[in-house]
Amino acid sequence: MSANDVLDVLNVQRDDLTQPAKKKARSEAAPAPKSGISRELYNLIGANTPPILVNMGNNRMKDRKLRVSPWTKMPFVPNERAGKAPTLHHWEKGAKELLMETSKDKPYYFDKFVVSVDIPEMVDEELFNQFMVEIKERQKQMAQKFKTSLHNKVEAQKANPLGASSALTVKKEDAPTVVKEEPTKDDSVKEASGETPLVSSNGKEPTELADQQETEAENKPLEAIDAMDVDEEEASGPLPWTYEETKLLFEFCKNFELKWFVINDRFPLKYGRSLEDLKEQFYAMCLMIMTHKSIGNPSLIDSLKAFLKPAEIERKHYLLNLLKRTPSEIAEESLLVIEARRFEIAAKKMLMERANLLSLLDLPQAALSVQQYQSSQGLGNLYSQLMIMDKNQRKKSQQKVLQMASDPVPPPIPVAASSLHKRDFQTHLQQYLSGYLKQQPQRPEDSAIQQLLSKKLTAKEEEAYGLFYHANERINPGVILRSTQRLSGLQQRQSVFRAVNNMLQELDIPTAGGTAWKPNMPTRKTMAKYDELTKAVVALLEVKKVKDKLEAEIELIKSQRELR
Amino acid sequence: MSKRIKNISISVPILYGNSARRLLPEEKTEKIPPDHTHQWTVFLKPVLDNVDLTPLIKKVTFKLHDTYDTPVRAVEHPPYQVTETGWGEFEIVIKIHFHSGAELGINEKNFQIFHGLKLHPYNPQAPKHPNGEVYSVLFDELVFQEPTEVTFEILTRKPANLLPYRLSDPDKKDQEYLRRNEIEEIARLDVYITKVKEEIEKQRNEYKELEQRKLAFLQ
Repeated sequence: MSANDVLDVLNVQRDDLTQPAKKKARSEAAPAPKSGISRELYNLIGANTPPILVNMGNNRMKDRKLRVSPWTKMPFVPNERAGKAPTLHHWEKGAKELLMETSKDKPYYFDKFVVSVDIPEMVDEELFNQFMVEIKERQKQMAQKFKTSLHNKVEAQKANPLGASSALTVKKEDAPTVVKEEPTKDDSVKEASGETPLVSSNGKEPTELADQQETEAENKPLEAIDAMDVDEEEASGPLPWTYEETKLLFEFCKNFELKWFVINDRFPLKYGRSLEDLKEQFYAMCLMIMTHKSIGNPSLIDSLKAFLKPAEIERKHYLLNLLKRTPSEIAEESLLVIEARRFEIAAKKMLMERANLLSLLDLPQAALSVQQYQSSQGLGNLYSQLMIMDKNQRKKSQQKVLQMASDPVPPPIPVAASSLHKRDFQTHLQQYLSGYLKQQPQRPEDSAIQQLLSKKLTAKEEEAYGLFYHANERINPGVILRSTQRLSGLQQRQSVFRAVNNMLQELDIPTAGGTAWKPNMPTRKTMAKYDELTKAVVALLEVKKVKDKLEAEIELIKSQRELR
Repeated sequence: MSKRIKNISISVPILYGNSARRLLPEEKTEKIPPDHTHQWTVFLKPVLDNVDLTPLIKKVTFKLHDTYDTPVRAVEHPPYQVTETGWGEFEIVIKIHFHSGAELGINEKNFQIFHGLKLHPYNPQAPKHPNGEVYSVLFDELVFQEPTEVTFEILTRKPANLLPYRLSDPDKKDQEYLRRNEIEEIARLDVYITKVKEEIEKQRNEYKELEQRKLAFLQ
């Protein structure tokens, strides 16, 4: 049955004319005798060859794959501009001649990622001394200003606790913003110096920091000021900066690209400078040099001027405090936040209830005498009047409900944001205890169990308290010594204990003589192990007993055989 | 408040025992009987010095040998200890009296610990002390099983189980117990357990072999 037959059966009209002449020619040109599946396939498909030319297993692809492209070992000099780099070799794709030609006077590809920080040149000694005098003068003024401003702020906060936020904005403005030397230079440089706690020029960090500071600042602003006073006294203590030292600092700043931690780490210990000291001196000197030479953009100079060591130290102090918070403190804080929310919601609810109550009280006043309601007509009037009022009120309240619904109810605090979330996991003991608390008819809020649960101890910490939850064992109430704890494996007859001890001695396990062998240090863990050991030995004794019995049996059979 | 919390236990590590040293001739006063050769101190204390058990413990009595004057010595405040002189070793009964009274709600029975007084060196591994002192200090834990809520509250005020990691004095090896000792003991017990288990396996295999032999005999 050929394709033509099939098409005939299906009543398909075949339009020979629409077939491209080329294809026809091809099919005619290949009348080669086919066999097997291909013949059958040809019969089925017929001259209807697929529209796409399938390139089966053509050789061209293979050829391309097989051809090996040349690789050349090329010399290159990284960071050629620096001038001290050695010549290295690496493999590059392509023919040697071609590569030689193209790379002749091109710099090394990755050289463009090597960037350096633009730092003003250090001046000579004479000018330096002159600068130092000016710097000292300015620093004194700045510190004074900083202190008074802080004092003012504290006063303002005391007077008006709600004004804390406004104080904060002030703070944000004069927060020490320090711009990196060359902010526009390159991204990689930006990233590099981003590691340091330097406040970058985009001002994003200062706001963040200021936010963090807010909570702390409200708590202990006075302490901070006191601390600063101490700092100031200390600051007058160390030696003034010498020319050599400053020169060294500039060198380091250039070499380590203003990575302050590295600089501070490498800076000779004999000078005894803190990171803030280094920063202060460097920024102050840069400022002087720049204004002297009248280079650098004004915004950079402004930010350099704004740097203040006490402020910087204070900032770090705050951050440190923030980091040092214990889990319980964090938990307490978030609890407070939740509590505050609850209060807010409760206040809102109360307002709503009061409004409802007022509307209820808003009834028609009985100004006229009762006389008029005594007739049936009067009563009818009263009835309709009340109906109208009721309707109005209902409408009003409905509107109110709608309003309430559209009111932005404070969204619940996202769980992930509160630090409680991390420690939501409860140990078995805590689960048990909270269950126990729920069973109590009256629950005093400040019970010991409640307090313990609020600590959210980890299993390790529970151990430190000596707490243990006996899930599946019965314990007798009362005080015992750990060494006399009645563990299941230890409830044996005295004779068994003796046998156990003998067995242990046989196995070269020291038992310190006597039958009353116990761990040296009976803690819960050692006693549990001791219990396990005893159980194992008892099991061993059992096995041995059965084995010995069998051995005796065999001996008996043997002797019986021999007798026969 | 005096309700017991089921399935819970709280432990407090304690040290008890005695120290003893020879009496020097010049120390012998008229009050000390001439045949007494040693001076000793028997004591009971929590492992951690900052743990205060006075809310729980009303007093601790030490019952000495009957030959002593007033053999039962009561100590109402820490340090719970009695110093005496003597010539012989005997068993001392250390009895802990808990605060009683239903309204207080501790509701624990008095508790006894027995300690054999040691006057002479008994442990060859103990470090030598210059004055020939002998220490017999034992570690144990007071386990409050199913404590009442009051007891629970008192015992959870402070973590009492923070065993030290280091000796306060290298010479006090025989007087202090460290967390390390516990860890070492657990490791040691683990070794023993594996040893015993191997032995069980061995015995079991031997048993199987014997069974085969028995079958062979019977056929």
